[in-house]
Amino acid sequence: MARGKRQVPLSPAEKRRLIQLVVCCAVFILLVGAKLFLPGKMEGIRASVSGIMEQNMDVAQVFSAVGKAVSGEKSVQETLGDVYQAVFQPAEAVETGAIQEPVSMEALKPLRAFADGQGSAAGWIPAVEETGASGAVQDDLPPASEEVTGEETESGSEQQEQAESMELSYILYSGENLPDNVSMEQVVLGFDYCTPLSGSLSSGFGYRDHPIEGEEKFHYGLDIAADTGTEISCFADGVVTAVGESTSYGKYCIVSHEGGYSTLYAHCSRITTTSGAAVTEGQKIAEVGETGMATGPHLHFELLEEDTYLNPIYYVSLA
Amino acid sequence: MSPWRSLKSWNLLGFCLIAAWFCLLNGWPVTIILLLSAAVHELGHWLTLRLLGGKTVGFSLSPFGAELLEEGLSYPRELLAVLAGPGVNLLCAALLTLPPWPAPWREMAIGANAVLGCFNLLPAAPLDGWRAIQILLCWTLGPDRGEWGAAIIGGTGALLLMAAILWMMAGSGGNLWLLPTAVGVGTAGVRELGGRS
Repeated sequence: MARGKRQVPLSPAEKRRLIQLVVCCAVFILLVGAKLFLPGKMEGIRASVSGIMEQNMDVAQVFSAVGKAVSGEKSVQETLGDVYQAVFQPAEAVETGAIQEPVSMEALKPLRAFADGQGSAAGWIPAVEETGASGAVQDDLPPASEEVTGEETESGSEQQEQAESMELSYILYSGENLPDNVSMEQVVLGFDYCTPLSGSLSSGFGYRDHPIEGEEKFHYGLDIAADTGTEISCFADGVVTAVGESTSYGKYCIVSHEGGYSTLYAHCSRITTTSGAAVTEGQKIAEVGETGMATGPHLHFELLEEDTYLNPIYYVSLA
Repeated sequence: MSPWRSLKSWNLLGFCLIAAWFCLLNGWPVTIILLLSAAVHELGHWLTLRLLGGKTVGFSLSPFGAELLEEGLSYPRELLAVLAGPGVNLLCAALLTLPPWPAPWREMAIGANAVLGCFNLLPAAPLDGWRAIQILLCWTLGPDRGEWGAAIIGGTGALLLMAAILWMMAGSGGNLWLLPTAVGVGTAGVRELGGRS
């Protein structure tokens, strides 16, 4: 007892350490408490902090641009432009390509042969070219994201045109001309659904020029352009089966619906739901972004029946 | 005392963490090129120092960068040793533009050396450019007035540089790995301005 009461004066170093310990404990307890009682808020903070940590200028591109200027390959002005681009708009890249890898030129060969062989079928060629061309307009643009965004909004006016060509494609694509896992039919879903995002259609379902490889590839979803941060609603009731991030899709999530249907939402700036969560029609699940291979903020939306891709255009109403 | 004694483990750990983070964000090629450029830079300092008969009294590797402390040189020789680091970087950049062979990452290496060389020549504490100004001022005006003048120039330069880095980070919404550089430069600026007035 007596020993316990003995006062031992702390040295300054010990005092400092004690204060450090107390402060650390307090911060730890505060953070744990915040995590427990304000999970939504902490999730938001976590997302923005990791965003800041991950958001990065393209150092390699900065160095390359400077290197080109030093070796006289490019003018100073061009270099300044490149450096500015690399520092402030790191997510250049390309408009969402045919993200789904498979369908190669092989799929198109019978289509081409069909077109070449029969003069009467020539009518749909311009339609396909048209879809390709409007895609190419976006692809040829410099990667500055504002410009692309502008283009994407403009392309809303092309929507009519695209819709027409798509209708034509629908008539002309017979089963063998389509990739195996694609159906152009308008099936009855058998449940309520809503449009996940109101925006302008910037790229439709079907063949189009791959923005990177330059070949025609199948685009398995719809691209709906909208501002970064715009709320993405869930298509229908279901369960979130995957939340992830990939180089092409960026941040994406997949929701399973009844009857073996599922929907995919890609290029999001953030996903506000978690894997395994039950979601309802119209519930906010993500926010529009331009993660992955995208030139401007938009949602890449896919609709599947089991393993078969359906054209989502029949189930959404766009501005 | 061996110069390696001044390598503090916490600083080293910080340096490795920053390097790893940078590598995760930017990939191996840039990281290796940048580390090599930095190594060439320090090697330039060190070799010149050795050749001119100076002594390395400290070497530190921290999240704020690498630093070589020396002593025992006259002003002109010290100036040479200070300028040797960025000089070697700029020389490397120039030499790399010469060969016609299309080496992979050549442009990146040229750019990295050029950027590193130019950055270090900025008149902001504690960068080489500022050290050169400090030596020149001490040489021409005498140590007291020289140090005073250099402190004002280097301190102001450092605070401006910190502001520029922070502005860039804010403008690009990220690049958090630059924060240690901004903090290091800012601390040096405050020290220079605060220590003298």
